[in-house]
Amino acid sequence: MSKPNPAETGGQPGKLADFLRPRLDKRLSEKTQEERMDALIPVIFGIAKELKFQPLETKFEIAPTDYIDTIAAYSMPGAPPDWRGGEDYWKLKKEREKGSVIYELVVNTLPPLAFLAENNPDIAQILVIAHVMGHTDFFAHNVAFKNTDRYMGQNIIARTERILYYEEQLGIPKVEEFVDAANAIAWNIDPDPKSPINNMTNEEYKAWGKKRFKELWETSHRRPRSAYDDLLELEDRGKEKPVAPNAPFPAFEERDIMQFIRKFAPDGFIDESVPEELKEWQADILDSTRKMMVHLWPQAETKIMNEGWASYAHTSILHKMIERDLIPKESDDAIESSRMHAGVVQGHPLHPNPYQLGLAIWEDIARKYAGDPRKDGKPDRDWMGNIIDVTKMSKEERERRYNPRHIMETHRDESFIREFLTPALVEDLKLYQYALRDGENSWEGKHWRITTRQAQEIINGMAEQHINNGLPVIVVAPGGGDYKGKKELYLLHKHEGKEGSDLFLKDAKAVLTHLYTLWKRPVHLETVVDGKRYLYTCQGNKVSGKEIKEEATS
Amino acid sequence: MPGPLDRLYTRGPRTSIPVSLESPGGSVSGKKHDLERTGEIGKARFNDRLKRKLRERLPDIVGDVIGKVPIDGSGDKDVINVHLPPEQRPIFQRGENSGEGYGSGEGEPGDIVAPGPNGNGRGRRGGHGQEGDGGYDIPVPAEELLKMIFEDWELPDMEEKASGEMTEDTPVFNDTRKSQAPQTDWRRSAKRAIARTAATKKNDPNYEHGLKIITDENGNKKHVIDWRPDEDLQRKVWTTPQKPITNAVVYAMRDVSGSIGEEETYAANVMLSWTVRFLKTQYDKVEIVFGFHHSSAKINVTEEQFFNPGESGGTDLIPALELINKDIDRNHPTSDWNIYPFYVGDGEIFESPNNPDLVKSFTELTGKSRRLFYAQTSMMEARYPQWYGGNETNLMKLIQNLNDPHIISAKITDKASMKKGLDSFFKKKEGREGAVPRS
Repeated sequence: MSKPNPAETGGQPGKLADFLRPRLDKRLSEKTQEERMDALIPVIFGIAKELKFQPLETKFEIAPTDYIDTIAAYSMPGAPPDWRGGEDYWKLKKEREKGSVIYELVVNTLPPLAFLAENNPDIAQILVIAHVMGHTDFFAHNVAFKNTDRYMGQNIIARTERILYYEEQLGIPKVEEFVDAANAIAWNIDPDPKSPINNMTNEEYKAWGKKRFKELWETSHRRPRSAYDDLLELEDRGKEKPVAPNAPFPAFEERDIMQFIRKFAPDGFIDESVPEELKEWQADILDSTRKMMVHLWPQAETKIMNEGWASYAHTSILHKMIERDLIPKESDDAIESSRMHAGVVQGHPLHPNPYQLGLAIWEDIARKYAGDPRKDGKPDRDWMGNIIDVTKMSKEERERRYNPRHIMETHRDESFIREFLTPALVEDLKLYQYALRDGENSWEGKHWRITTRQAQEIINGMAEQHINNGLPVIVVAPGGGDYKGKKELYLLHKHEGKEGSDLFLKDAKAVLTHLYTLWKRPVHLETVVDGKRYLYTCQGNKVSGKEIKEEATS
Repeated sequence: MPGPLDRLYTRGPRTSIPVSLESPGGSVSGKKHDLERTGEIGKARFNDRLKRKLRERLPDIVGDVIGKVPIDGSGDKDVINVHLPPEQRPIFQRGENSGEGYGSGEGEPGDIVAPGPNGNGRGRRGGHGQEGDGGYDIPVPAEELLKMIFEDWELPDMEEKASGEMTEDTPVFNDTRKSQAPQTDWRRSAKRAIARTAATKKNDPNYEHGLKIITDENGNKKHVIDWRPDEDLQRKVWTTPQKPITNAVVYAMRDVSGSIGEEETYAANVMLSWTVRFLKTQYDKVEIVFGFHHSSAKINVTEEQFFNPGESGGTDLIPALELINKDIDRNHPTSDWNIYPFYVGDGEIFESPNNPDLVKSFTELTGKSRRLFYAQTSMMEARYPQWYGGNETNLMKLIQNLNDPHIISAKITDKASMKKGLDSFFKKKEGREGAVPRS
């Protein structure tokens, strides 16, 4: 028997329901949905707490679907209107007309905001509220969200006011062009607020680079320590000590390209051509775009865990409600809730569904935590492939390994998949890997084909797709802030050397032109195309590429 | 906030439903968000972007539009689907059609999960197997497309003629009234305020030259205008005088000889019909004289006859030129009319380019014209250059020999070149450089 939460106390099912139900039904049916939900939240919240979820106090709003689409498109309420959000909004609206429904939308602020779509039946709202409880628990406790700005709601509204003011004063196209440029590198950030570039002033950063560079150089040029140091030093007497060369700038690879540009762009971001109170508008846009991205980064990093946890919360809570007869078994509501749940956790042929995948993993973890064997009797295996028997494991051992709360707090998608997506689960979920391949026969043509169902390959591959949110790692190369001594920018693509690691060149070139808008001097990008090193250079609107010959650079 | 039924839950007997006592766990409100406009404003901005892109793509689209919009204007309300590629949001990301994706479902290794990119698929990571390129099919009414195209065109270098029938509506700001911004004429308003102050505050020490004197915290004196909004503010009001400016006539002449095949007829129809549409929509009073020629020429045929000629024969240009010259002298004297001959043909005329009669009547015509447009249908020549030996046609040679800036010629080789050609004829130029006004 599967127990999602062994810590639950049991209680006296039915008794309260007998007491409350007639009153609830009578009183609530006279109220608006808003009031009904307001009355139900403490109940759902209480059950969530009992199930060891620790949700935050949340502000729910019943809103028209258009509004929910707007929030979904702009990621936050109160965001400045722009064409990107407009396009997404339009697409969502079209999808909705075709019949797709966003059941839940929750914004990570303090208090968290969650939106319930107008005109949804009560049971859908209950499901969403239960789901949101999982999300707010996750926001509050997962390590990736540790540094998120809970006052982002206020920030974004202030940002919107400023941007609208800039647009009014400078014209929409001018501001839009710059926002486009900022957005092109918005993913090239280091969300860690403690990283040197985020944590130091310009001078401190430069000094830190110089010092660290010197230390490392000296370490690598020092003779290994030995018992004969005193003798060996005699040999060095009279010789000049080798001196570390000047540190390049930046001294080390810098992955926060956006912050680097913001801090070290040779001409800065003071726009003298505009009135005094506006002259820092570009810097402001860069800062606020970056801030928004830092806020969204953890959500991208934990999508599967987060959605899985929320789905785990809503299934557990709804089970409990049905068990307690708060939602009568075999009522239309109970059936409807199962139907909606089934819709949420359906597999997709081309993308892993985070709800389905996450929920399956969490349920597997909860089963192991409870010490139950798999239903089909197959053995559990750890990530090395060794058979483990959770039924014979001590309670402390299971606590140490499989406490869902502990896992929820400390993992991100990459490690979560690598560690807890087991070969048995891959089989259960019928996961496969696919790629663009020729058929066996020449006439079959190139199509997206299943390449393997081999579990370990799938687990590794899926985990890898979550490294750096699935994006290539591009850094400012050492010395890339002052390339050729002309303050040109030199970026380096850290190519993984695999098929499929090459950049999408059309986009990369477009990003380079945007970078030129920001840096205002030539921008270079070193990358690998089909196994050969290439250097792309953007000067003005033109991007030219040429192969790098090994002799020239080594 | 706790709801009205809160008491029922929190103060009730302790039972198996755990109701959180320390906090209700949240609240629900039904804020009315139906006035939220961010999504719609964004959508409008996105639409503007698409429109801009549509304009950029006009040369490619025109060809399709041409085929679909009937010449007589009956299809103007029709909606044409224009495909636009997706809006770019470039970021550094991994390549197209490479790497692996993950999904779930039945199937053996080797089974197809999504069709491959057959030229049009973009198939990016995360967008594997996406249909099409993710762009937009935008329904645009033909009328609007035509308007977008015609907005940029004009009959070049038109001269004012004494007995003009055409009018031009130019708003002229020639009166001021009291009002609020935004049509406020600040200069006049300020003058009025100063004058009023100067008149009324003659002996007031706080006023000087009709300006109020104020002292700031540093003790500096400043002069400011003493506004009385209800008395001083002046609004701009415009009237639209209609003044006759000019007369124009377009001689549309086409070659209908035997050498004009189906393709050439189609191309000529398109070029001419678009010119006619343009003239009719942008100018109220341009006269169009239709005519065609083979070894002999006809003029003043109806529009219907013109577009469905159904004649054939040899190709002599001189009769056509003479006919037009005669018509100009008789009906449209250059003193009163701007003359624009528009000729479409394949350029394979029987006369040699050095034929003195041809040169004489051709220069006579160009001498009378503000511009002479020549569209040469050269589809076959462009497609099979080896058969045509790269030689220019007789008419093109003649035009090259004359080297007159008032003759604009264009070669029609494909759909895109039609728009290019028409643009070269009619596109509004910045300033008027390059134009050689006829004295």
